[in-house]
Amino acid sequence: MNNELKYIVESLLMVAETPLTVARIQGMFDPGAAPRAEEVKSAILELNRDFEGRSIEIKKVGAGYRLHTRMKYAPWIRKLQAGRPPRLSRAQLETLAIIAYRQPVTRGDIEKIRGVGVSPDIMQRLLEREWIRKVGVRDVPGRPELLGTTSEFLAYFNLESLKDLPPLMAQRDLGDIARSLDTPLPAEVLSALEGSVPAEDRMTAASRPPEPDDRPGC
Amino acid sequence: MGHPEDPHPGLDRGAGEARASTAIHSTVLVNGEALEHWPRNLTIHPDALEVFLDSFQGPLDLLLYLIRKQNQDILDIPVADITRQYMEYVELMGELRLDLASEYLVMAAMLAEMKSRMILFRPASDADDEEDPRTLLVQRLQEYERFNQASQDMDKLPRIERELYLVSAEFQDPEPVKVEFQASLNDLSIAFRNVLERSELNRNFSVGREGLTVREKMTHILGKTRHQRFVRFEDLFDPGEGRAGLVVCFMAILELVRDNMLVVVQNRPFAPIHIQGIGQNR
Repeated sequence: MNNELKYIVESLLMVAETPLTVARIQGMFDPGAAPRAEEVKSAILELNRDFEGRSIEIKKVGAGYRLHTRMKYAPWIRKLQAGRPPRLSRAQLETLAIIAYRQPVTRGDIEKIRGVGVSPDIMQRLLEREWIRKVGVRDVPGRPELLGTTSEFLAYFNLESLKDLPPLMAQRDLGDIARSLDTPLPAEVLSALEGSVPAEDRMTAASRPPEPDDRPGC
Repeated sequence: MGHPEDPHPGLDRGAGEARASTAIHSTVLVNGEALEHWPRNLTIHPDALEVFLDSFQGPLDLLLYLIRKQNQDILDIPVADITRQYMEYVELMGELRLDLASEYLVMAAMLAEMKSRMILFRPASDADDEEDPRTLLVQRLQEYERFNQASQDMDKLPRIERELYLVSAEFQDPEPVKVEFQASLNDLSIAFRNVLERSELNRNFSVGREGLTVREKMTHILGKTRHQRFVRFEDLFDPGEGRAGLVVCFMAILELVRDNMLVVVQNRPFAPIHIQGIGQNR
């Protein structure tokens, strides 16, 4: 193991303000003298092994690596903090969750799911924190903006990718829903419903939200 | 259905009871008797109730709350019961003059329609041409419930600023050294100290108080800078005025600089400081 590389990586992670990708670390070296990607990765692995039993760890968030304190020590660090950790309102969280799981979505999609209008303040706040961004427009009349999450979102919520989001609750089949209602649906409606459920709505706990088209770390 | 985190904690009473706590202007019956005074042990302040009602994220959230409160699965809604409760809350919000989002009223209409459909006999053949509103509602409720749950799960993820803190050794990007052509206040102070030091030599000659005011001195300085485009900073001082006079003179210079009537110029670091009048020299 090239110890020097390990400590170079350590110092870079310590000073960097945003997660560092392997390519970024390689870029710190003179061309020709740069370590291979596998070398950088194993240096990170080795370094993380050194941190075992200590208060800090390296975590991959999005495409990059960062150094943070372990969760266990948060109560101590909080005593050092002047204010309380920022809270997210239910409206912010719901809006963010819909964007994270269903991206790319339009404002209209969000409003349809939540059953209320999305206030501009909420969008403003999420945009300001750079957790969401405009990823395009939907090609329908009005060309509404499509929204998606960013690498900053992954970093803030300590996720390597959207696959690491907690799984969505399983959705029960519409036929079952109809059958279990207090008065049964007419047979015609039931038969019409069979097979008409859109594939997208058959999402189960095992299926995961799609990978965003935004490449984290850039 | 499990309800991991009640978004409306501490307020687990029915809409009927809640109404009793606010609507004293209308007749309130408690156990069949009209209530004339507020119960003293009332735990919910009307303001708190308002906050409570205001905390719903919309009609779906309110419906979900009502269903969960009864430990009901959304697939198994007792439509009549839930509709009644929903209407009670909506009325209550109206009474409290909460600015009710129109979405609440749309939902109320939908529930009312649903209820009436279930009471009326309808031939089965009617059903093909339109979708059963219950299916639609259950679908919407379920979709909302999934994301409501997802948002709560997301809130529990360890995150920056709350459970995780970035380790950081501070990196100071050195600022490139900039050559200052304008003398700073610090430079002026140093120059003034030199003036003071020189005045020490004249100590024995100090004359009595002349009572120079800053304002007088300002006029004096403006007069000097009018005739000479540039005046050496040191030359503005008359050592004969003594320490107090020098201080007054320095203050006058600072006043004039602040009022943009003088410019302090230094051609390179440690060079003599010059004072130039503005708009006075032509």
